Amino acid sequence: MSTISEGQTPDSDPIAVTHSSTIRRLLDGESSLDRWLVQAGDWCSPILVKETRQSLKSRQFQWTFILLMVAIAGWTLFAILTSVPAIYFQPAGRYLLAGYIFILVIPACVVVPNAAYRSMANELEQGTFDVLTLSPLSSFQIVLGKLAVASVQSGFYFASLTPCFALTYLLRGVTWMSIFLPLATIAVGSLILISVGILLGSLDRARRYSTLISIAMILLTIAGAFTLYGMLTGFVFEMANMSGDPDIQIAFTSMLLFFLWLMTYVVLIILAASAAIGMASENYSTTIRWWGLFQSLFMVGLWGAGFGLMVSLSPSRGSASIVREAEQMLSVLFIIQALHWTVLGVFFVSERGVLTPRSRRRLPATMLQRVFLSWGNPGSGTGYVFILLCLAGVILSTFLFGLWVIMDPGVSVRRYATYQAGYGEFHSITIGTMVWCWLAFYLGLVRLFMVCFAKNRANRFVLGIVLLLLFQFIGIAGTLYLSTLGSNTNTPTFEWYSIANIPWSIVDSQKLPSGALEALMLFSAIVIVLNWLTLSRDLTVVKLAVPPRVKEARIESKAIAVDELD
Amino acid sequence: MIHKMPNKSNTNESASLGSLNTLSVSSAVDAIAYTPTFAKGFHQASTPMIEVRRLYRTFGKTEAVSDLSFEVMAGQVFGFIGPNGAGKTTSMRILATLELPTYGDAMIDGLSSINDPDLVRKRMGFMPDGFGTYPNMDCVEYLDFFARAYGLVGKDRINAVKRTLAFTGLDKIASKSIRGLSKGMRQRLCLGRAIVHQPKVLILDEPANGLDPRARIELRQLINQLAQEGVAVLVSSHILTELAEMCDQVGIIERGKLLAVGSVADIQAASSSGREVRVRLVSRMEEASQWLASQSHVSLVTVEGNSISLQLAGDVSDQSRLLRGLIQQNFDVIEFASKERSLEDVFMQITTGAVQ
Repeated sequence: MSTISEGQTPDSDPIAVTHSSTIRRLLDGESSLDRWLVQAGDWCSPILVKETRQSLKSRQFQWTFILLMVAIAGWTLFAILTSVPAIYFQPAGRYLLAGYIFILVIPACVVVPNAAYRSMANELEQGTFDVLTLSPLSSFQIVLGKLAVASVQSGFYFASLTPCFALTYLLRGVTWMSIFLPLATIAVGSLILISVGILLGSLDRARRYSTLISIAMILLTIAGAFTLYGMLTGFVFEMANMSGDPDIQIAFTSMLLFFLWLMTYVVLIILAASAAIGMASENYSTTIRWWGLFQSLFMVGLWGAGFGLMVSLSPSRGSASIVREAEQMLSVLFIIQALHWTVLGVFFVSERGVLTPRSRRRLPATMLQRVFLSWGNPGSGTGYVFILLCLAGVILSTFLFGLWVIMDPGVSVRRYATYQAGYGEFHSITIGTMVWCWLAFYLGLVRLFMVCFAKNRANRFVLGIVLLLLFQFIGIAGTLYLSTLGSNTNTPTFEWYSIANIPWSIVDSQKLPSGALEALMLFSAIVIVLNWLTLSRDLTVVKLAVPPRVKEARIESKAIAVDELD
Repeated sequence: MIHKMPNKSNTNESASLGSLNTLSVSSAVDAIAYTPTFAKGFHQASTPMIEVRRLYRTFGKTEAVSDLSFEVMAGQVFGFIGPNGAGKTTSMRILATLELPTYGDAMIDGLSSINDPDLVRKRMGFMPDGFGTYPNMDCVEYLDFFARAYGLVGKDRINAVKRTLAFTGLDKIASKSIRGLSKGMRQRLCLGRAIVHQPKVLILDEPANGLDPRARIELRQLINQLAQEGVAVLVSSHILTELAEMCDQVGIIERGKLLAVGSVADIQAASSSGREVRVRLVSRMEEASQWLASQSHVSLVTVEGNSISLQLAGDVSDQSRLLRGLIQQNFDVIEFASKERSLEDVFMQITTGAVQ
């Protein structure tokens, strides 16, 4: 450690003075702008402040920014020079716009998501993650901070290209919508890939598969970026043809709502990432469950709006064409809902379900709360029932809603059923029943396997996914094999047991053999009963009182906070 | 009911500043005494600040920690001694809320590290074995970040960073990149990070590892300074002589089990089966050794050149009686000295060197 020699004061030591001024500049701020920024920093996430400082020093950001500027200048000059003089009378703006979209997609959907992944992974690799989690920052705050930093970086790139997009608007063939929608799509795509990057960076805490995950992340972002670019280029060139179409407003609104729905998945991924790095004794499952339900209802809301719009545009309620469209919409909704709950469900049924005292302090206490809210408690049994209840609720409510909307007032359900039977080819409720039974059957099998053979196993979520895929594979390959064996022509034919084959059953849902649906319902019921028998442990957990010392500590924290404000 | 305890640190303010001066810490900013946040706390002197209750931690079939229990009071320095793989780091990581035990509980200021890690983290500073620093940040930026992370805003944050820089002697290199810091300076920075929010409990895992002698002495002074201010310190180290000087209590751990716990003197006394005595004579070595071996309380008599070593199972009066006997037997004694067993000797005696 350096010391000041006798007779030398800190003020006369040039090194000390330099460092002293740095401390002043960084902590107090020298100019009024500095001071304002320092004060503003107090209101920002500490992670955002730290990572912004780091990013401004990092070469990755500097080089990406310089390359972006060079690409913008190069493309602008090249595109304009090669388009003159056609640019004055042909819709050349689209050509220029497609180039700018490519220039934006690369940093926003490849560079920034990978930087977000590296930022999270580096915390784990460099050993800084431990010291970060030791701070009172919650895991959600940490993940949100990482997301905010990546979004700010992405925002820089968007801002840099804004004048270029304005330039294309001045040219022929570009409307405000053909600029706005690609930008919104890239922003949403970038956010989704960033959140996926943060989640992947959080998952492998032991860093055993870091190389594999890094490669997967790079491939995913490149694939995502090029898919997005392909879609958007097509969109930009099609936009001019659609500009006079009255349905464009509907398409625009639908797309915005679709983006909003995708954003709910960004939140879900962030919640999952914060659970991956969070406190081991904390209950993250309940929040994710309720968020999953919110997403499901949000999806139903969007579907309802689209359905209502379809009916309102239709000439007459109760017509054959509207029933057919309604049936299609319902079937698609049921399949999407089932996929949503399967993805969430495999994690819920893989939970260990050992509740820490901390988790038990927040359990529902009253009789009424226990009846309705216990299904949100962590545990594979409650998770299994939760997803079955949610999907059943969604299927039944949307089917009845659809029935009510499409029928003329006063028309009985019996008449609708007769009506539907007359057409015979669409039967959403059959699809609804099948997807619910498949969910109950396959996830139930996964849970039973976990309960019986993998009670205290580590990496349960990975095992759950593997088991689900394995059962699905058996369902597909097994039924195909059996039906081929039973066929004289060696051609697989749909038998009653082929109902276990999900894709085949959906394709052949109009002509299911008799007994197939009943068999599915019977086997699902057996699996549900077996699961119900092993459910008691999840439901008998009771709420614990908060220890007095914890109450004291919380009051103490509040007292300190109040004193600091004073 | 809120019990406002007297601010222990305020009463020691002048002493703190005095101690800082003795550390030769140069400061470009005003030296601000380290004051743990007892002022608004519920801390009671009789409550242990660190309490480990029957802690177990297994990794597969390996029992890293087994039935570990000990307590550390406010202002105490507790040394954790054990060979590599003894379970020191695992125990400390459980206390620091970074790992869960298989069984048992670890309490900081009466709060469970397992069930209330959020509350524990506000009261505790942990310095892990690895540095945990961001290489492309400056010292001041690093401390500023952690001060923000601990919820310090405005003047409180600025003062906390300045105080920590001054306390750790980093103020002269505040704007230096962490990448360019020496190991000792990084250790100081990590200590600064651990104390920036003025915790009541400090857990240090091998803080002196790889430091030069001067840096070690300075680090020891800093730890003692913190203990004087009322902070409970749990520190592990391989350098036993250092721990013996620094710690009020030590715990010797091997294969996850606590073999001995108490003050250094108590452990030395409890584990000691006597003292080693060295006698130098002018002549008649063989005769003297035979006479010594025939005495009660004496064992392990060995002759090395013109000196005899022996193990005396007794106190100072037995030692004095033995010397008197030698003189009465007309042996020409030129040196008669006993050696206290060091912590290293005790450690070597208690532990077997087995690793898991």
